[in-house]
Amino acid sequence: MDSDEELMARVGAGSEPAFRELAARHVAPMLRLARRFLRNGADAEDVVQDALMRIWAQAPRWRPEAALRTWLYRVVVNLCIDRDRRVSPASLDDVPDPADPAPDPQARMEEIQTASAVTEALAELPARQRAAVTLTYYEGFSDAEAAAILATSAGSVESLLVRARRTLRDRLAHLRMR
Amino acid sequence: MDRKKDEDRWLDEALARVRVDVPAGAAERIMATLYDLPPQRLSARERLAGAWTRLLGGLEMPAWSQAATLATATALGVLVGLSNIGAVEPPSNDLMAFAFDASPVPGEEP
Repeated sequence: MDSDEELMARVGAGSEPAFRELAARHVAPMLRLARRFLRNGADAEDVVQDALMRIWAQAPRWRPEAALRTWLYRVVVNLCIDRDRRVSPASLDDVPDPADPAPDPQARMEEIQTASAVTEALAELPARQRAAVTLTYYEGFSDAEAAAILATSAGSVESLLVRARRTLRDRLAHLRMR
Repeated sequence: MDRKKDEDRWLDEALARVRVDVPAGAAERIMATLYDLPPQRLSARERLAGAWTRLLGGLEMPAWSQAATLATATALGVLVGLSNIGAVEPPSNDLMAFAFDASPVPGEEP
């Protein structure tokens, strides 16, 4: 199997099959990231489609200075931040499910409330803090990788995470008291 | 300190409660749009710049050296162009050798 970088070199030379193979590899994680960030399925699909078109158009200029995955995520995150400035409300269909539904109806209700409150609190974070939390906590990137995606230093990512966690702790304090 | 640790642990657990799945068909919908790709539009200048960058990048030259080489090559190109139309004397072999950092071959006339 070709590496991402080998595929990208072929994409840069205009190979459509190579581009479709590359897209097929990454479309699901790109979509998950965009859905987490934007909380709106339709917007997330638009962003990923736009990101892939940009990647296709810019492929001839791509140079293998960093991991391709980092670059792909950077395109998605930048588009999400742009889109986020033109706020679009989350649809009811996009309210996330709790990760591990409890069998007891009372416990399940509490889990849904917690998941909903956490989602709201995440949505109210400044865009770059939300991006840092999404990349490191949910997508499993290291601070250094998240820094490369956000075009900043690992120290700045750490600072974004500290501020984000402080805000989340404050906003979700009422749930902890239950 | 324990309180802070408890709060951190609680927050980690709360964050873990939110799951986001990619709904069935969403990725396929996006993939379906990729069968009608627009041409990769690059101007001739961009293509030339890209080829030049890849060439110099392949040589692993530092940025200042790339700039100096580009400036020298441009100046020589202009000089050769002007000499072709008789506006100036053609550049000497010494100058060409100096520009491209080529040592003279022993026994060869400069």
